[in-house]
Amino acid sequence: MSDPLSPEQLQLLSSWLAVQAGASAVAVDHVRRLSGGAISVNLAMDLDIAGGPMAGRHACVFRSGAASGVSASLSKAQEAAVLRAAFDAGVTAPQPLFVEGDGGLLGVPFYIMRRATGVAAGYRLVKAAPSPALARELGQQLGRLHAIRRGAAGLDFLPLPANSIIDDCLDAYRGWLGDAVGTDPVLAYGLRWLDRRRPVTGELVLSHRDYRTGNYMVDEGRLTAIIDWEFAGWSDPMEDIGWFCAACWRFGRRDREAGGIGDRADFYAGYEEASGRRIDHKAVGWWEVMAHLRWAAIAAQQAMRHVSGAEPSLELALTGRMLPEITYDMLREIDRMEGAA
Amino acid sequence: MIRELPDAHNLLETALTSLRADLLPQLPDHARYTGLMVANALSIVLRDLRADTARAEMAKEIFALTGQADTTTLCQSILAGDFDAPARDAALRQSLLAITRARLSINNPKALG
Repeated sequence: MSDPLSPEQLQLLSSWLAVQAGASAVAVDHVRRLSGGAISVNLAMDLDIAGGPMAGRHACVFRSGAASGVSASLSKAQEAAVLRAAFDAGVTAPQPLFVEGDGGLLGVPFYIMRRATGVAAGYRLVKAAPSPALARELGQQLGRLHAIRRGAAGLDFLPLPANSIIDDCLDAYRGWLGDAVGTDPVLAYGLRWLDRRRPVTGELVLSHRDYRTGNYMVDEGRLTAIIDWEFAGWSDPMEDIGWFCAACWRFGRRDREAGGIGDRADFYAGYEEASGRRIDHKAVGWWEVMAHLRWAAIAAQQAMRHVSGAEPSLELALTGRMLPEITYDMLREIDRMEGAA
Repeated sequence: MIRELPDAHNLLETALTSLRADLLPQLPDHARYTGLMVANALSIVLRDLRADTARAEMAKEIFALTGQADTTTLCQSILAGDFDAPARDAALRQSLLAITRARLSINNPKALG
C-alpha cells in the first residue's frame, strides 16, 4: 500500500501547521491509515510542535474528504465546525485543532483533531458485559448535544428542513429507494405506515444523525469519543434516540435495547438528566421504524452501486441481500406498536 | 437432456464445504473477511437454488392480497391507502411478515431465530 501522504505533502503540511500553531516548527510523524469509511480518509499522526501556545506532542487524526462532497454528508470544514460546537457544549467529541477547508494545500479538504484511544467496532463492544454506566453516559452526551439549537454560532451552513423534518426524511428515503418502492411491498408499507402515524415533533436541535454503536469509542469501559459526524444536522430530538435504540444497531444483542450495550432505561435516564427533556416513548418507537426504513434505503442504494456496475463489490452486493433482515425488524416494530395502540 | 452429475446444488455444496474446512482456516487475517463474505454469498446462492417452497409461499400471500401475481399492483394499492382500514392493515402486515420470513429463509435464516 502506498504511503498515505507523499514526502512533498508532508512537508507542505508541516510548514502550514507551523504557521497555524504559531510555532517555530511542527514535525509530523507516525502517519498511518486508520480504518476509514467510503467517504472519508482517516490517518493517525503525531504532531511535535516546537514553540507557540500549543508546544508539545499531540496524538491526532487527520481526516480528509473528496473535493466534491458526497450528497447528504457535510464538507470537512462543516464537519469540523459541528465538532467544535459539540466539543464546546461539553460533548465528548474529538477536539478539532486545524482546518483546511478549501483543498488548496493538499488537493483535498481536511481537518486535524485530537485522537482518542479505544475501540469503536460494534461487534466487539457488545461482547463486553452490559454497562449501565456507559448507557447512561451515552444518553447524557446526547442530551448535551441536543441543547444546541437553531441560531447557534458557527452553524449557519446547516440547512433547515424544507418542509417538516418528517416530510424531509420521507421524501429523501423514498428517493434513495427509487424503483424498489414500486416493487417491494414491505418498503411501500413502511413508507405508508410512517406517513399515517406521524408523531408530534419537537423543537429542532443539533442532531448527530448517525448516533449508534460503532460510531463512538470506548477504552476500558469508558467513553472516549463520539465520532463520524458527517451526517449531523437539525432534527427532532427523538430521531437520534430512535436511531441509537433501533434493533438493527444492536449487533446481535437484541436483548440490550440501548445499542446492544445496555438497557434502554439507563440510556433514557442519562438523556433526561442532561437535557431536561422528557423522552416521548411513542415518538421514539416511530423513529425506530423510520431508522429501519432509512437503513433499508441506504442498503438498497449500496446494492445499486454494485448492481449498476458503477462499483462492483462483494460487500455492496451482500448489503443488498440484508434488506429482508432490516425490513423484518421494521415490520416487527410496527406490529409491536399497533398491538400496543 | 443429459443429466450432469453432480448437479449444481451438490457441486456448490461441496465447494462450500471445502472453502470452510480447508481454505478459511488457512487465510491470513487481512483476507479472512473476504473469505467469510465469499462463504456467505455461496450459502445464499445454495439456499436460493432450493427455495421453491419459499417462493411459492410468497406468491400465495401476494395473490391472496390483490388477486394478482405481481407486486407492482400490491405496492400501488398500499401507497394509495387501500389497506389503511385497521382490519386490512393487520391482515396485510401479517402477510408481509410471512413474505419477509420466506425471504429470510433464503438470505439469512439465522435472523428467524
